[in-house]
Order: sequence, then structure tokens, then C-alpha cells
Amino acid sequence: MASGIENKVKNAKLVLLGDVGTGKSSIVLRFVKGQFVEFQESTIGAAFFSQTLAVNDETVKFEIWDTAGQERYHSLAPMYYRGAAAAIIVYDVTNAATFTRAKKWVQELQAQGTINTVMALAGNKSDLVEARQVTAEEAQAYAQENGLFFMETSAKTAINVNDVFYEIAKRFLQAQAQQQQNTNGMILTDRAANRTTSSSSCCS
Amino acid sequence: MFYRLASDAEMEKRRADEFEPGPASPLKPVDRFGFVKQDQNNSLEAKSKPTNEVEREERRIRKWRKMIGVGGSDWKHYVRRKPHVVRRRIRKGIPDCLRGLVWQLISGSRGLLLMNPGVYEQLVIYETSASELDIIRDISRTFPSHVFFQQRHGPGQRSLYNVLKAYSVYDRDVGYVQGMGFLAGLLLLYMSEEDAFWLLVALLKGAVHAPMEGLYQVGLPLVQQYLFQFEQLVKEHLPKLGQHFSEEMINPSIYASQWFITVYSYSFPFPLALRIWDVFLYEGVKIVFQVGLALLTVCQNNLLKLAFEKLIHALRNFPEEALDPEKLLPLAFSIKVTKRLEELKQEYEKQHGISLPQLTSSRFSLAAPSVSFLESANANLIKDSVVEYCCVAFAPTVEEVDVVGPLDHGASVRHSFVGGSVVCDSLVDVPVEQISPNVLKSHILLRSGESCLRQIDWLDDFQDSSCDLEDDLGVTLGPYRICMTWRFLVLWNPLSVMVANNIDANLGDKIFFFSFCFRLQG
Ligand SMILES: Nc1nc2c(ncn2[C@@H]2O[C@H](COP(=O)(O)OP(=O)(O)OP(=O)(O)O)[C@@H](O)[C@H]2O)c(=O)[nH]1
Ligand SMILES: [Mg+2]
Repeated sequence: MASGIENKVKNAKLVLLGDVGTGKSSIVLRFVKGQFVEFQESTIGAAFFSQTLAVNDETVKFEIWDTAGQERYHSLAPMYYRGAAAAIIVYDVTNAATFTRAKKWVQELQAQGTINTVMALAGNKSDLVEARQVTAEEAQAYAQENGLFFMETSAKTAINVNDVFYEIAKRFLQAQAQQQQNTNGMILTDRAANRTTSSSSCCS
Repeated sequence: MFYRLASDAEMEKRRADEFEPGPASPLKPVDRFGFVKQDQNNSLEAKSKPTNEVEREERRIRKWRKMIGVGGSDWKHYVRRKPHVVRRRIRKGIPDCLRGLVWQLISGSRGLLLMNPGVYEQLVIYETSASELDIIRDISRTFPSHVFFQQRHGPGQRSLYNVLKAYSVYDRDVGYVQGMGFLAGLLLLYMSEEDAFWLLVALLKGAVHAPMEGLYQVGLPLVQQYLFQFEQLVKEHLPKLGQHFSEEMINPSIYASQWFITVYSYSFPFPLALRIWDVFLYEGVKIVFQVGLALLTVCQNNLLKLAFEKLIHALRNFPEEALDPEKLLPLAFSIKVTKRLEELKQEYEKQHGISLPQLTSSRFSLAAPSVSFLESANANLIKDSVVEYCCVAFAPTVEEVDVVGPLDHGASVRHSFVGGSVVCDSLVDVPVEQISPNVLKSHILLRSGESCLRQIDWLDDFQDSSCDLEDDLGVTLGPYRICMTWRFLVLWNPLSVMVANNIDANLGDKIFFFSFCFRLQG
């Protein structure tokens, strides 16, 4: 694990949004613990995890909020995405309705106007080739139009899961560097970025 | 799957069956509650109990059996005579073999079941729900580590589906919400699906305590209110920790929403959840606050040392010692919250402009219409018995209420009738002294200014009732409002049937309720 001199560890609040059962918790579990369970308990409210990731000589520490997907819990969501430096919007490639819902999340985040949020669109369950309903091309086109970056993932096989987080970390650092130049040290996350920590932890 | 709960013996047999690993998991060892053991399981229950403890347990069960009587026949009597003994015993934990029955007795769900024969079947078999797919998607994700729910399309999953679907039809406003599955799942481990369904109804619609459907309604209004109340309570009871939380920008919605949404049935050790549920069903939601405060109290010293992220982690992964019911619950009971909860609720409602009529007008979908109610009650009455009922109604005019016809079967009817005229948004304050015992007997008292209905237990005699009231509500007697009569009485046994019902005939802005009580003397 990257040593990361204290002042180089940057905290980034990351939120996962997306419809019920698209695999948000599974993606986080894969990223944080390297595990996958066939019957992941549905998330009630939200779950919190953290994980660090080294990018070149810098370290990003993700504070990850894994939200509940059901529409009824929507009223709790703003609390989790407010001030987030990054968001992963997850849909299930085998379920077209979840892609529609993902677009709604994108709109909502854009309307909130947190310009600094790095947004990723993840088409999860790419391992289920036969049941596919949403093509990669369609999602890619949508992502491009809306300035998100897009990847198809599989929490089950681990394909692209770490890559999504890595890409987010990279973009986050870039954006922050730019910000620093512009405004000289404005803080991107909602909390001070100088908290000290090392190991990963999680909870659910 | 549709089976009826019958005797204790049958229940025990059924539960015993569940302990045998199902076909889906032939070799996995399970704990005494049926959860598949984690590898590192070395918790208390792994050790076999010493004989004196077994004996004590048996003595306890005998005591409970006596208190309950056959099929619950003595329970009501006992509760009325010795409410404090009952409370004390419940706080010590209901014996596992009687839990399902007692839960139904204390939650008022038995009465609902009785009043609505065939309704559950109808909901399950004939109605369709918009939430069916949502429910199916979550079924295998509810208690995935419990043997009863593990088997794909097995009895556990099927009954869970049925209960959730039935509820989503029964209350289409709420429908199905993630989280309800954990409630239903917990109940299904102790009772049949029809009983579990009515218990869910009793809870969410408020048969005995204030209704909790707001936990699941759009916007989660009740969750928001509870979180507000909890945050204030933390500040008041644990000022240092409250201060630390605000410095670290931690609020209860980060760690406590699940506590309320699932009443600790999600991600808490099962033995603790059961003990909380025992008390929760008897005493109401305040135990959820008390347990939360107790947990924070136990862990306070540690929590004070932690910064944001570790803090969140700690708040979602309490150490095993902290979760021991024998230590946590006594501490929880010692924390007094009733009065403050009331005040904070009012404060919250004031801040959020919630007014009484709004709250009340949406809550009357519960009862079956009067006619079918009477018919079903009739069906349960024994020929030639004396039926006594009292009816209280608030309606635009008293005459409109008088719809009660004679009962068949040659049962003779004595009735007392008290009527009044109430318009929903200008409820008349009725000082307690002026309420006749008859009214008090069967009715809910609503404290002046309080927007939520509080029910008191069945009161036999007015004099006694005033002290009970004080005790039960934890409030001083002031002017009470009778807002509606809404009492679901438990069917204790065929010889002492008491049923109550409420009817919503929403007459413009006037609301019309009434309630019956049948007492069948054999
Ligand atoms: N085949 C396959 N199944 C997956 C994948 N990711 C998740 N699943 C399964 O999909 C189901 C839902 O996954 P979760 O991670 O719980 O979904 P979620 O988005 O967190 O759902 P909510 O918490 O209810 O909003 C689980 O049974 C997972 O096992 C994947 O990449 N491939
Ligand atoms: Mg989840």
C-alpha cells in the first residue's frame, strides 16, 4: 500500500447511486474486501466504507457511501451525495429500467450543480452476457453526451471494478490540482481534507 | 402456502422443524435461532447451558404459561390486574417457545385477524400488487443467512413474499418498501404468515401504539421525526458525545436510520433484536430510542476518541460486549425518555407545520366496513349468549351512528351508547372528569395538542384508569381529547370475545368513527 506522506492523502467523499439490486453494495464489497456474495442483503438507509487508493505518488482515501436503491429512500439520498467529490451511478446491464433510473440520477446530480463531482456510469453485471438489455454503445453514447466516464463492470468476476475507482481517483486528483491553481486551496470535499488515517475499514 | 396458526404445540413443532437444516443447506450448522453459523462463531449460545439454568428457564416458562392461560385465555385478565408484573416479565424476555403467541397478544394483531376473516387469503390469492417484482427481487436478500429463508422458493421465501405482497395491496400508499422484509421475516420465524401479516398491520396502522406507517411512506416522515428526536436526546443525555458528534459532522441519520426503519431487526444480533421486540411490542417505540441511547452510553468513552470515519465505523459495528441484552437492556430501561419524546415530537411538528387533521385523516383505512365486521363478529358468537357492547361514536349527528342492528343467533344484546359530535379540525376538548367510564373504557385518549393518538389499555374502571393512564403514558393528566375510538381487542378465547372496530365514513370534513365492544358471557 502506498505510504503516502500525510499531506498527500486526499479524502474524497464518494457516493454510489442507482436502482435496487443493480449491485452497488456488491461493487463496494468487491473494491473494499475483494469479495462477492450471491445474496447480498439489501441496503437499508445507507452503508459506509472507506478505502485508500494510490495514484502515482498520491493517495486518495475514499469515504464511500453506499445508498439504498429504492425510490422510497430517495429522500435520504441528498444527505449522502451532498458535497460528494465523486459519484458512481450504477445500472444493471440486464435490466433496461435501471438504465432509465441511472439517467434520472445523472440529471438530479447535474441539477444540484456540484460541478466538481467526478461522475462515473457503471453498467454492472456484465458477466450475465445472455440476459443483456442495455448495450455498451448506448450507455457509452449517453455518458459522452453528459460528461461522465463509463465502464461496464462485474462485481461477480471483479472485471473493471477497481478500474472504476482508479479512474475516479485520477480524475479527482486532476480536478483538485486544477482547483488548487485557480483558487489556491479551496476544499473540494465537504470536510477538511487533512484527516489522518491508514487502513481500510468498512461496515454494512 | 397458507396455514393457520393453532396451538402452542403445533407452533413448537413447526419451529422445531425449522431448526433442521433444509434441503438447501444440508450440512451447515445453525444457531438456536436458525441462522447459519459463521465460522468464527464462539458466542454465548455455543456453550450448552448448565442444568440449573435449564431449570430456571423451565420455571419461567411455567410461570408464563400460567399467566397466558390456554391459547391466551387468561392473559387479558392478568394484564389488567398486574400490568407491572407483565411489564417486568416482558422486559426479562418472553420465553422463546411462547414468543409468537405473546407477540400477537400484546400487539393487538389477534383482534385484527379475528375481525377480518378471509381478508388475508383474499389479498394473497386474488389481488395483484404493483410491487410484486420489487418484492421478488428482494426476497432472497432478506435474512440470507437464515435457513428458513435460504431455500429458493422454499416455504420461508414463499411466506415472506405472501406477507409482503398482501401488505402492499392492503396499504397501497405504502406498498412495499425495503426494510419491511426484515420486519416480516422476523415475525415469520415465530408465527404463521397470516398472523405475521396482521401483526405488521397492527404495527404500521397502530392497533395499540401510535401507527408507524410513516416509517415507510413517501418522504419517510416518521423516520425524519424519530431522527430529530433522537438527535436531541443524544445532546441532552450525552452532552459530551453530542458535542463530539456535531464537531465531526455526524448526525443520527448516518448511523441510526436503520435502527428505526427495521427496529433493530437488520444487522443486529438476533437474540438482542428479539428482546428488543418483546419490549417494543408491549411498550412501543420508545425502547428503540432507549436502546440507541444505551448503546451510545456504553461506547461513549471509545466514541469520544474517534474521528469522523472511524466514528462511523464504530457506530455501525458495536463490540459484542455492548450488544449483550442482559447488560444493554437494563441500562436502556433506566433511561427515561417518554416525556421528552412527546415534547420533541410536538416541537418537530411545529417546526414542520404538521397539523392534526392531516395526520388523522389518512389513518382510517384499517377497519373492515361495519357490516362485514358485524357479520364476522356474529360468526364468532356462540348461540344464546349474552352480548354486551358499548359503542361510542363521534359523528355529525348522533342519529347517523345508530346503525347497529340486533345480532343473530339469538344472542341478546345490551348496549350502552354515548355519542357526540366532533368535527375533525376542531376537536372538542373533553376534560377527563366529564368522560363517562363507558367512553373511557373503550377509547383512545388524545392529549390536548398531541397530534398522534395514544391508546390506553382496556380499562375496566374509571378510578383505576386515571393512575394507569399516568403510568402508561408517562404524562400528567390534563385535558384529554377523545378523537376517535379505535381499539382492537384481542380475542382471548371463544368465551370472552371482545372485538372492537372503527369505521371510517369520511363525511366531508367531518369524520365519523365508532367502536364496538363485545363481551360474550358464556
Ligand atoms: N451476476 C452478477 N450478479 C451481481 C453482480 N453484482 C451484484 N450482483 C447480484 O445482484 C444482487 C443485488 O446486489 P447488491 O449489491 O445488493 O445491489 P444494490 O445495488 O446494493 O441493491 P440495494 O442495496 O437494494 O439498492 C445480489 O444478489 C448480487 O449477488 C454482478 O456483477 N454479476
Ligand atoms: Mg446495497
